[in-house]
Amino acid sequence: MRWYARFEYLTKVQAYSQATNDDSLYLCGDYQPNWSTDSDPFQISEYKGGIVRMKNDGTIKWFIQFDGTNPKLDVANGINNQDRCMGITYDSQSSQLSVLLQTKASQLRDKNKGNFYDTALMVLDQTGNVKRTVVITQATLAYDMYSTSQGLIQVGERFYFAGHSYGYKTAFNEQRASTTTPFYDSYVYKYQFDREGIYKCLFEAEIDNSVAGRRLKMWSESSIGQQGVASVSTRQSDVKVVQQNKYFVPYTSRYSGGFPLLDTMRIPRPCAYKSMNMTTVRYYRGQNDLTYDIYRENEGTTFSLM
Amino acid sequence: MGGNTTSEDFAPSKSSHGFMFALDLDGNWKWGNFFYNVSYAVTQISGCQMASDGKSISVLGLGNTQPVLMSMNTKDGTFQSFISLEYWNTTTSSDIKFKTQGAIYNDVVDYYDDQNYYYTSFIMDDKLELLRMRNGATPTIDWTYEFIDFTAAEATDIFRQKDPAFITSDPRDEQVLYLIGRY
Repeated sequence: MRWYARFEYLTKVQAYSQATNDDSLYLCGDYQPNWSTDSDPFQISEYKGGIVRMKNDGTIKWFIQFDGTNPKLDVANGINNQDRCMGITYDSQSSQLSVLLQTKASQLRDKNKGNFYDTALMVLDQTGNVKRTVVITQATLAYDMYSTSQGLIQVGERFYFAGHSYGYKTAFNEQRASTTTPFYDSYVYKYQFDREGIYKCLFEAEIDNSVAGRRLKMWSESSIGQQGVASVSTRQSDVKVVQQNKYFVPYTSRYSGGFPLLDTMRIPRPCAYKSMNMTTVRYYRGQNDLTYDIYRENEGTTFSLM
Repeated sequence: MGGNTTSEDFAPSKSSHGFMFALDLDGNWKWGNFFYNVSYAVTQISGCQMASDGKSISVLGLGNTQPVLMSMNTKDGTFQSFISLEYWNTTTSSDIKFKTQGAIYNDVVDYYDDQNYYYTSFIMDDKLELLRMRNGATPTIDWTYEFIDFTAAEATDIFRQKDPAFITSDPRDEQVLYLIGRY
């Protein structure tokens, strides 16, 4: 063991990202201030987000805590502030990091929002200053947007974030959950800043940097140790491990395999702006493996729209 | 993207099935699978990470209540390998509880000996295990470390305080691996 870092304000690490052109390691996750008395499965626990920049020698350069106020805050009745960090990326070209926040912060959301999670994407520079923030919601649908752990990737200027929700609502389409037996659908969305006028699919609102910045509390390298935010040790005795010999038996499984999922994507896709039934025959869809013989069975109503 | 589903129109039944799907950057469906080992479903996919050479994706999950490590082709989701891990002293009456998260890393060419190794970490009952396994037709465990609890409370509270969330290598130092999570 070279070093061991312990974060007092980070109960769980949800994501990491590494810089390839320097020695930085970025972490993000969440902090449960009352974890010892919270009840499993911690759905109503108080959460604060946490973002860390550290070096590969264990030095913690800064620690940022993100939180806001639940618009329906009522601690006595189990409605707490809940803000979590679920994804992080570092872009070596721009030297910026981006975080995926699962938040109920009223300071970032529309005034009519309730006690459910929305998604925020925040871009910061290496010193922790906010560069851009956008909040993505499902408008009037009061479904939690649960982000996935390690749920953010960046390709060039495009961000892809993943999660699950009871349904979705975009400017073009909507999927409502059953009121009696709701179930989650997983989702993957693509987002790119500065595409107004072209990309009006997601319900989004860009937040002023100063407003977003006020939700962040930063500890610098010098104050982290002094204020007990985190500690780093190189003592092997701080992490007690024993080596076990012949403890696990691995074996290959010859009769294993993957099988195609049945129904797959919901059609139309959330950002499809137009759809049309091209034949009188029902579409092939997942397990509904139907004939699609366009020459024999259509009635001359098909045409292309590209 | 991976996880677990209880939808019978996604996987074959309402019982828990691990799933994994791949999209292209425009959101088009590439492939999506659920998994079986003989008659046992892989009940959960908890982590995935590209192998060190970027040619395959390494996946960690649970099958028949045991950790399974899978290597898949990224183009079509087919298996390159499927390896189960079993505790050496397992008996028919054993009730060992495993929990996996995202701690899997496949170093295809080791810095020292050019061997293909898996690194993984998971929870077995109340303990965090970290191991290295030589990958191949006959996989072998190279070493295993077991993390010892500091307090009795930690020992009995198995799912709250230990999360081997990720294992990743240092892109600038091939001799270093990070184990990230909660302990």
